[in-house]
Amino acid sequence: MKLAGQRVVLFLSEEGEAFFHKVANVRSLSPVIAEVVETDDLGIWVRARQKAPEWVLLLRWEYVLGIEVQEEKSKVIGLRG
Amino acid sequence: MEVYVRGARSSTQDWIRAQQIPANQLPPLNEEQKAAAQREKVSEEEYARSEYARQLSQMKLLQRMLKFGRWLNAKVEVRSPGSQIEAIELDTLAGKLEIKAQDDRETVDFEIDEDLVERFLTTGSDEAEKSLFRLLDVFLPQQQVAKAS
Repeated sequence: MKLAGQRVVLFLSEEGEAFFHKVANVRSLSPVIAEVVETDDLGIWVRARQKAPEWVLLLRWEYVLGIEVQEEKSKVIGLRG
Repeated sequence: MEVYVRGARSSTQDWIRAQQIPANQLPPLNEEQKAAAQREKVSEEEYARSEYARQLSQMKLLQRMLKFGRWLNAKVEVRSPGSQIEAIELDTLAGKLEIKAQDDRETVDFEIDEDLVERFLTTGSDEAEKSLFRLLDVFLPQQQVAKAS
């Protein structure tokens, strides 16, 4: 599963939620909808829509309880060449 | 050859670009997307910017896959005359390229890891190229020329 570049729904632990809402300055409660920039051993690097585009936050794996990804099977583009 | 990209993803570069264009130039949302924006509690404009970024990235991926497909097909034609790549489909979520090829007898389907292709396209590394050729050896083996005795 390649999450980089995908829009996902993140289910965070209480601690993770508190951290995210404090740092991202977001009022709404979990789940968090974010765009994944990258994943690595440390955790998941996300961009929250509420912040500036270049703003990226690392959520450590221990904060993440689950991730929901909507597979867009129908979204196919193609060309002949 | 046909090339497809299934699913969408957005790069940081395209995300920034999408934030910068005037709202009236954003592609309009369909009813399903409007409902998704509501569900995700974001404004329609914000959702449209995010969709636009994904469209930009999807188009770039498509062009990239076409370039790779042409390269791969050229190699296949030299290694196994009569064989060719018919279609490449990148599954963005699985991170795999599904390849449909034709050899002189049958249709051959196989997969290539997207990371391998990206490593090759970004570094041009010999090692990545060798790995790609090894896959061709398995799925589209070089034709043996029988020696006349």
